[in-house]
Amino acid sequence: MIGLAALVGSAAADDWPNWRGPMQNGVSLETGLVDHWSLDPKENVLWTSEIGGRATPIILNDRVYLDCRTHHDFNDPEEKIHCREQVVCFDAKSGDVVWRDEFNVFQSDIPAPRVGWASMCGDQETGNVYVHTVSGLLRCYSGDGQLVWERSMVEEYGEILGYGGRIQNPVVDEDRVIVGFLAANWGATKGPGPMHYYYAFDKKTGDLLWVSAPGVAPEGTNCSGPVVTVINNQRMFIAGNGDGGIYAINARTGQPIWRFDMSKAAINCSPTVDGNHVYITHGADNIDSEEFGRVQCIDATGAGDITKTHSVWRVDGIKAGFNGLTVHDGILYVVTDTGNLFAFDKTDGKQLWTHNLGTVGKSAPVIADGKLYVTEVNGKIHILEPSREGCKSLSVVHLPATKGTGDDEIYASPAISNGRIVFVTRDRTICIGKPDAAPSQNTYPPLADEGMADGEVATIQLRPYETTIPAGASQKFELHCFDKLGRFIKKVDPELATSKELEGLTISGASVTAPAVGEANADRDFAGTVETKLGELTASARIRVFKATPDWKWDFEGFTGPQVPPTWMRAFAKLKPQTIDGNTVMTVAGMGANTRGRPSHFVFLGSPSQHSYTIQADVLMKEQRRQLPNIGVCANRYSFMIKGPYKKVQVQSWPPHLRAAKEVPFDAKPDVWYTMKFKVDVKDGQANLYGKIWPAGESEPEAWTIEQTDPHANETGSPGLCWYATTDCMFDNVQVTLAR
Amino acid sequence: MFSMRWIQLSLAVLAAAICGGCQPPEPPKNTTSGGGDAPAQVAGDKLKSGGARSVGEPTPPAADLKKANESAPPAVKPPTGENPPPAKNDASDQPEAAAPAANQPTAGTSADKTLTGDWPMWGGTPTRNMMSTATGLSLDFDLRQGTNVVWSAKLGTQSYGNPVVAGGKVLVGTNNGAEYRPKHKGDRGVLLCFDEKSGELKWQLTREKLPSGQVQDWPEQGICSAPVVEGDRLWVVTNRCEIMCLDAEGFRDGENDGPITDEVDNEELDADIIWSYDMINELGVFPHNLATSSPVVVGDLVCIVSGNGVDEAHLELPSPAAPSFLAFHKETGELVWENGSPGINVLHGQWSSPAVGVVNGAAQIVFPGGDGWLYAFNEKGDEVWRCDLNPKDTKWELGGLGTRNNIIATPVFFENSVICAVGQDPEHGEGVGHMWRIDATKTGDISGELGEIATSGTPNPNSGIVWHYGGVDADGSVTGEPNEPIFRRTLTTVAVGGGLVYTADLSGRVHCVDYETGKRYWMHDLLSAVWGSPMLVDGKVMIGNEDGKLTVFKAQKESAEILAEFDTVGYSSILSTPTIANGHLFLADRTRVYCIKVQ
Repeated sequence: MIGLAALVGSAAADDWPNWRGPMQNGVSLETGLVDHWSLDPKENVLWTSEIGGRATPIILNDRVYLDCRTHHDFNDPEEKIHCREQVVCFDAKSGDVVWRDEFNVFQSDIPAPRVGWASMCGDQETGNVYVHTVSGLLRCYSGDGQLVWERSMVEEYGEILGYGGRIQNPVVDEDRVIVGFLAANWGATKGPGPMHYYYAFDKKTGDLLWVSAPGVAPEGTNCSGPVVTVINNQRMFIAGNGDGGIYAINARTGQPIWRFDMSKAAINCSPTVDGNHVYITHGADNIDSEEFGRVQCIDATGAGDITKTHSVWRVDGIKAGFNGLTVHDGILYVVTDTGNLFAFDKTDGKQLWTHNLGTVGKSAPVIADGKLYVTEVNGKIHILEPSREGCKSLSVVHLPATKGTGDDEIYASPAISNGRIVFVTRDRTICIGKPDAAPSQNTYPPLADEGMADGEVATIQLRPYETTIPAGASQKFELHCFDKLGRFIKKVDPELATSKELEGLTISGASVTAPAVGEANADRDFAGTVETKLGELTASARIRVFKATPDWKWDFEGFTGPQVPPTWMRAFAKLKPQTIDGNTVMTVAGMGANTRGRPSHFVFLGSPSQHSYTIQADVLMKEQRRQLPNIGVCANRYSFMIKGPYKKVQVQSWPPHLRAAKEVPFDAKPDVWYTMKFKVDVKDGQANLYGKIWPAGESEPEAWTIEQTDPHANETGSPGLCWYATTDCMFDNVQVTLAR
Repeated sequence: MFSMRWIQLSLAVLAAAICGGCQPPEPPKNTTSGGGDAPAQVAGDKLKSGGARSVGEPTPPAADLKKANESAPPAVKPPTGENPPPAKNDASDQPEAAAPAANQPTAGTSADKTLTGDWPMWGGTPTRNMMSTATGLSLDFDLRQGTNVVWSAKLGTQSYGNPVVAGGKVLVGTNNGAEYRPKHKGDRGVLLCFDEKSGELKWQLTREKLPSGQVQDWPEQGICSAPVVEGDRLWVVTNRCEIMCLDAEGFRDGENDGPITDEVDNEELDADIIWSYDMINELGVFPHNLATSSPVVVGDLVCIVSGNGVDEAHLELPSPAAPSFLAFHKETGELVWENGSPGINVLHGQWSSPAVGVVNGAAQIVFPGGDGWLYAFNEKGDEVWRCDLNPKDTKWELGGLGTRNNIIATPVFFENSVICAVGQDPEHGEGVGHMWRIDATKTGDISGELGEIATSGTPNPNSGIVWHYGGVDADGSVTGEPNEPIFRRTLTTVAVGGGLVYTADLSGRVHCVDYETGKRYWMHDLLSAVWGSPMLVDGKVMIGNEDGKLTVFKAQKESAEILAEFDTVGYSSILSTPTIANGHLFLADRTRVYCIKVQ
């Protein structure tokens, strides 16, 4: 363990393994870097690529990794079907694309221009790289582009994605990869409102280790990039939260350490650590002053709510909502939303100087070789020479768009590795440097020593923390023991006990087995927890088991109160049982004075690995306020919906762009029950979609109402329900028929 | 670098190209020639006068005139100090300027205008021209030192509302950051009413947030609509997508005016709501992010843009049957007419506001549509003309990448023209923008081009485009840099006067353009984003920026000459437009409103 910690804490080569670099603070130790460059005439440019993006690239073992969208024009009817997300691996020396992996965007409101705003992260131990996609996939690739594992965090954990595209970058720490997002799912975390969770996965297997929700109800989706540090022998994971606060949690267990509340809006800026101090900004309303935005220095040695006790200094009125900060040589550098670079004395917050970069700042400055490399959104790349007294401009390059007019927008920060500085813009990737630059041999300092575990177990955790167990399969659990600072002590086999909800599963020692087809309880859903004890300490893990039988059916008879099927993801409070003329149905409340949140929603009934099934449901729309809803069902991450206001039915996979979409006229009447049936057949990478709708109770028509093909199939995906509830709408008799 | 002559020439070529080979740019018949102070028309004046018109123009239908007459008083406050006195009242030089004066001996004179100096609505008059007739403006003030600051008052923490000054009151939309009313904690939409002389809070309208959250009522953005005041009544659009008629005196007149008399908030410092119309529940309007329209009064009508917009996936209208343009009876709150244009073609939200002008004697209400078109209606709700403010080959794209833009700015009537520019949600970045001067005497589709959107258009024989300013400077002849945008996306409503048009783009570049030709005289980069609009007053142009600086230019075509710069306290962003009323400058930054003595 000690060896591993040392390795993670110190970058052996001059990699840029995460968006803030080897020390997670925008500082590189490299020297001999260029102070000016030009595309035309070409000077100090090593290579360029027409592949651009929005995220800061990472560089690992002389390879540059970027998550972005494919080059296809989503406005072109011919090309739109090919608009996808991709992970690109460039050779850092030549700019050649070593490998590229394309995959679909699905069931996400995030539009193409905002695909890939979150940076990837790399693991220097294994060479693996990680991406959090705009559909909520967490994917682990080997350095050679093999998909090692994948989690679908929308379908499995109820991740909520917003239009803004603010997705958090994952962070690798020791044997974990940790990622944050807003979610509401099932069981104790069913909602109704979402919380901002951090999910820690085993970086090699994708098994879930722990989940932590240190905050309160979030104000919005956010993209604050976390950092890991060691303070007072405790390994801390520190990030801005969707609730407007900054939180430190134990990086090994997820246990909350401290919170510092700042903003009335979600924090999108990333913290930077310098010694025992955490620097962070925000660009919205302060909780305690009328000024807008703040630069904050926090003493990170506290515990609990340190809002009022651990502010070292603060400067209000600086609107810096999207950047990351850089501390170097006693100076704190902040890029504001309005495109100004501020320099502060890091000890007392005294403003040293400002420098105008342009009008919009959304990136983080990088300092290396005595030079600051800073981008501005409207196509400007600055190289500056800072000092306490002021800032000298060495070079400003203004990049026009290569496609269309205007500026080439830049949201990414620079990345530096082995003498090369890589800039990603909307339209391209540019690598600058000296052609003869030798590989760097810098030694980056490891994180502070945590010391030895003290032997007394203070925290126990069951792992995996949450899982679904397939029919007839067993899951073995481990109990991990930590001291009060989260230092690992030992791993033991637990004796498990189940909650009432899981009675019917077979438990033996550390293992849980789900019923196989033909066995007792094979026709039941299970969702609940297993528990274990160690002395006075308790730990639990969450399990869902879907029916083993091939026919799933819910008619909702007997459902009362806010009850929803226990395994359904994101169903609670969105669907409510309602009995009409003796028949119980599930009702969605339309937008109105008492309905909170967005009108659009997906509920997932099964596992993301499912395929070859048919979903069927009865649906009904109410007409209110001149409005009608959309309502329908999902299979393989495609939706089949009635579009009430437009008198159509539609299939599609990516709402903002209607990828793979087809519509046919269908005048569904309000207050009439219709039966919808939908299946997706995948063959040779192509998906064939078949949707059918008819008045409920009438005989099913022979022909499909709508058929569509997608050359880029969603090969799998959970069965689901979907709607856009401008008005009330209802579901009944939901059935999933699995092909066997 | 380039001679002015060359710039003129190339711009004329560009304008011709935009017009698509139609007739060379030809201004409407009645225009000022450049150089003089040209008076804007005031709807109220014209309505009162029965519709002044110049010789040679078609006579408007008698019925319209009659209606205009009947509905006029006290429609729009007559001359209220926002229209420039005809400095050079030379009829031969300025036919349009002379006409109203001849017909209206008591209205439109400079003496009359200085009697009242109120600024009773967004833009001061229904024409929305960002121009004040105040004279003798002093720049001897300092916000940070307090020099000549008569009073200042806390607003919320985000203030996008523009100050309106009328009847001894100052009204500003904001959020609840100041928490003036102890019973209301946390996020609310707020309209504050201060005493003009003392800054004392007279009353506050407080509206809870919609439960749908940022989809329809973005957190902490408050009330963005600027009210229109007429006597003791005012109209405003709330964050809940309601249009309300309020008693300007609040409850302080000792009365609870109705029909609404059961206000939940009914203490002395609360707002006296007279009527309220909930556009979500009554009409199914789906406001995208926020309803923000600033109402305008014409005759008995109070007109607004509903705010109906796209869903949160930004794909399509969830409520295609809801109207976009609305006219209510100002006394009763009854919906008089509605119009569904631009139908399902709304690209994003509809956050702009209507303007009213009198064109050849008849009132026109021009509504900015969410499809990037302007739609002009008569008072009966019949469409007069429509005009696409984007070149046909532009495309709307999600997330801000595209070239087709929305209209965030408010159109401005000047003489028989409308001037307006396009932009997008600032979050979408700083793309290429376009500003147009349109001949409002035409009817039908008066866009510069015809054809499908996102294809190459064909010249429109019925084009009403007088000139186009913006697009990309392909050969660098205007900007000095090939392919540089001449004008970028904007939120800014123009100020017109002295033969010049002043505006700014979101990128913070202030532009001075010839009113006759659309030719650029100068551009000055403030290096900080501009959300508000310029104020043309006393030969000066005042404009605030996001870095909290108020810059004052000399109103001239020769060069961008900065006369003064003022920083706000704490560099608090100025997202609004400086308001001049009754010898004072009312300036709202993000968190405070200042009353500054400037005369």
